[in-house]
Amino acid sequence: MGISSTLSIAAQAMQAQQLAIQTTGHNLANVATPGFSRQRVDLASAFPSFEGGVILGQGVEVSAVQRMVDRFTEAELLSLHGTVGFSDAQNQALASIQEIFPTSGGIDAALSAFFGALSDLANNPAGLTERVSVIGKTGALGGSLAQTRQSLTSVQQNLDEHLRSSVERVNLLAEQIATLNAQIATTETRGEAANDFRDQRQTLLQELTSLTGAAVREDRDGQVNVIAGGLMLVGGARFASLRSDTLNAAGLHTITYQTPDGLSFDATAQFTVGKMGSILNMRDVKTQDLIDRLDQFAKTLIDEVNAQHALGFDLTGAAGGDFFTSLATTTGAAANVRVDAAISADPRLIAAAAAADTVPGDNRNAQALVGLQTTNFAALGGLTLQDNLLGLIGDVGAQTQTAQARLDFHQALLTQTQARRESVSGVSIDEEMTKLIQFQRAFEASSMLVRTADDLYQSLLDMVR
Amino acid sequence: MRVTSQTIARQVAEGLQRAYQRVARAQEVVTSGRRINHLSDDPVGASRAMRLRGFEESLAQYQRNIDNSLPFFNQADSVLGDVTESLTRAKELALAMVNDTNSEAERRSTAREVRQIFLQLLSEANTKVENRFLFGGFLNGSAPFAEGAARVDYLGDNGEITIQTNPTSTLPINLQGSAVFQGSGVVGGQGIFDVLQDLQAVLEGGSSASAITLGVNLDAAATSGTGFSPADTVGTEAPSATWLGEAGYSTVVTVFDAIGQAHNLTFLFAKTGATTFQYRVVADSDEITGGTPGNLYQVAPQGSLEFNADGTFNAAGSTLMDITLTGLADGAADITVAAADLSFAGSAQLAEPSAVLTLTQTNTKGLHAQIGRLDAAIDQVLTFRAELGARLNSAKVAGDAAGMLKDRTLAQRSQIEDADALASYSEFARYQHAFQAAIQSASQVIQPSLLDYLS
Repeated sequence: MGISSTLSIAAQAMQAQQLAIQTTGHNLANVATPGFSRQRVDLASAFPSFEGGVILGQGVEVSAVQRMVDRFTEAELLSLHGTVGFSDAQNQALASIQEIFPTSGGIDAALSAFFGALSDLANNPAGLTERVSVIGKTGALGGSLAQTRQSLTSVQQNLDEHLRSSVERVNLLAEQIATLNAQIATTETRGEAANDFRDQRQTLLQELTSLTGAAVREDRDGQVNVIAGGLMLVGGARFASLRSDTLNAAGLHTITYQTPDGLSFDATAQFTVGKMGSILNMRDVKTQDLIDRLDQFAKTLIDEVNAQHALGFDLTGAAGGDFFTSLATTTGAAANVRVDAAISADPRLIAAAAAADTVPGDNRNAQALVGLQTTNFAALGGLTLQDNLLGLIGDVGAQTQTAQARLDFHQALLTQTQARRESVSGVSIDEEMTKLIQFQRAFEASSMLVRTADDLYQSLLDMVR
Repeated sequence: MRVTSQTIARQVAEGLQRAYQRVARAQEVVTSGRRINHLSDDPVGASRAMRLRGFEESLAQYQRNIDNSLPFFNQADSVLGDVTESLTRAKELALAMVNDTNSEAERRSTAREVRQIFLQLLSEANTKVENRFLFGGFLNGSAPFAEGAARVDYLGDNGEITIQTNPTSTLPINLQGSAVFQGSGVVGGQGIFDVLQDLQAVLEGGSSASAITLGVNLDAAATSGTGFSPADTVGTEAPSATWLGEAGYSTVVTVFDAIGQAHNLTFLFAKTGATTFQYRVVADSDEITGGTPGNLYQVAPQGSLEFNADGTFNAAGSTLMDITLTGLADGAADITVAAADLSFAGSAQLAEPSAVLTLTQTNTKGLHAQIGRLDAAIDQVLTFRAELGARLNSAKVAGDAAGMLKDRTLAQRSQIEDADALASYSEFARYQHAFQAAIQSASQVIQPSLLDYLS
């Protein structure tokens, strides 16, 4: 007891306030750092001493520097990032797909023009101009189909590229998270708070769940396990890796999972959620479905027109050959809708007549070809060519609209949850400034205490002199 | 709830972004003038609009089909009008010639006029529109009617050229030349060219079917012939084996059956005594069912002509026979010329060999037959013209209907697709105001901080 005790209380208090000021400074410095959680210095009065029958306070001490987080909100944010990652990737892909189908002047317009040209031919079956126009309009239709299919294929390629870069990113994140896991475990077993490591890890985890929709579980020692589609990506300080260096039958990349022990297998089917799940779904299911339907449309067009054309007779009285270059397979049909080489070389070979001896005035086969415009085809689900096409285009629109709405909804949820996290973990400049002043005053008061103790010593020394 | 500067910053950023997006969307609607700029703006509306646009294009195509067909209708109508007029003129000519008082010269000049009408109709029947012959059916690349050795041949076919006038119906734009000009397939159909040719033939000579009056000048000096060789059987006698009597002693009379077809009756004469001649009547074998082209067929048994010593005709001494042409290949009823209607009045046996024929009577009956056919032909043409008119009318109605439907479809599509100019502009203005308000409030919320008040 005595002056020295007072001095020590002052010194301890100054140290505590200093720490508090430092933490406030840290908070202020990180006011704009993404994922940063504000920290709070927990001050507590020191254990009192019992002297001469009196319990005397022993000043202040720093009990902990706490990271202000709401674990529940943090977990919810992780799963929301997975959902938003899925919706966002889906929306992006569909937004680019829908621009492939313009609201006017697309394939449907080319199809109408094609049948219009055939109708003109029916009006004047002997006319060379009409025949040339049929070939021209057919070329435009083929071009439009090929371009649409090409655009869909490049969307698929872009998605594939995107998938590969996502895989790279997942590997990097998994490694970093594993490293942070180790650091957090080491720090916390020493009994220290790994506040900033945890913030960093949380930010990385958010990105990883956004990519993979992974589930995150924290162990008792503070390390997290990350499991995506039943595959463990991070387990404590160990991490698995993904590879995307194998091509599937369609020439697109698959995802290979490789354990830290070097065991590997194809895990493409495991990724169904998160951004990667969305990319795979858009690449292998949605876009592929559109391409398949477009091919089916083109194949039906080619086959049906050829079949009808073969029933007719051309201007020379010979039986009609192929109008379109015929194709053996449906796959790729939309890229290969072309007028038969013989017909483009000699437009007279378009078979507008229904009999060999009724040329040149006979337009019955031309009429029959025009009639295909309103014929329902079993190969197109019992629809006409136009209805089938409009069904496809309508689907694209509806899917895009739904995806936008879903993204908006999930984004709103995310924003709300982020605001909730912010209300707990966010740094408020005003609050920190207030605290700063408070700690500063406390520090000043403590330094005043030192001076007072000093004066007391002085008086004491003067006394003995 | 605890509010931090981050919370506000985020809120402001997101709010501004949303407001700005709305402004951009409204701006897009205003500048494009369209409510639907991307499929996802209104997927149902977008595909409905596309379907309507496709429908509009079909309707425009139907209109184009109909417009293209109009020259054909109009030209065919004008041709049929001309044909009717020409046939009427031919009928007038025939009526004028019915009278016995007309001279042969008049008849022949009339015959020439009929020939002109015939030629004119032939060229009308070969009318071309846009390089296509109107009445050729599918074979419209070359002239469908050509004058053959005897009759006009139809080289076209019966093809019916149709155009599509709406999604479910078609309209034929051509009339079949064989029906219009040759009456084939028409009940009581008349061959227009045949009628004119026959009228011309009647005017140029020949006789009527009943009442044949011939004046023949037979050669008194001729040697007796050996008889007749044409047999009674159809199709057995070749023309080279003609009667062995006087060469050149023959005359042809054209008679007409009930359906107006001409048949040639050939009168053959042979001297069988000093003042006696015999005659037979033969027809072309191929005009009789089962006959062979080029052969002859004896129609009536032989009759005899008796002359007086002074060479004048002795009607009482002559024996005339009924002429009956049965089993006509064209299916017409039998032609009968009773012996009483056959007259050789005015014939003579002359020392100088002069041949045969004097036609002494206008072919009234033949002309009447042709006039009847002309009437039928005019009716035939009028019927086709009426049919053409009905088709033209239905084409116009279909065209108008397509036009109206197109306007309605356009209005419907515009309602789906187009932005209401006033509404979209006011929406744009509203969003813009909202955006400006958001910016202003953001600047006021973000700025103040405790720092401003500490110094």
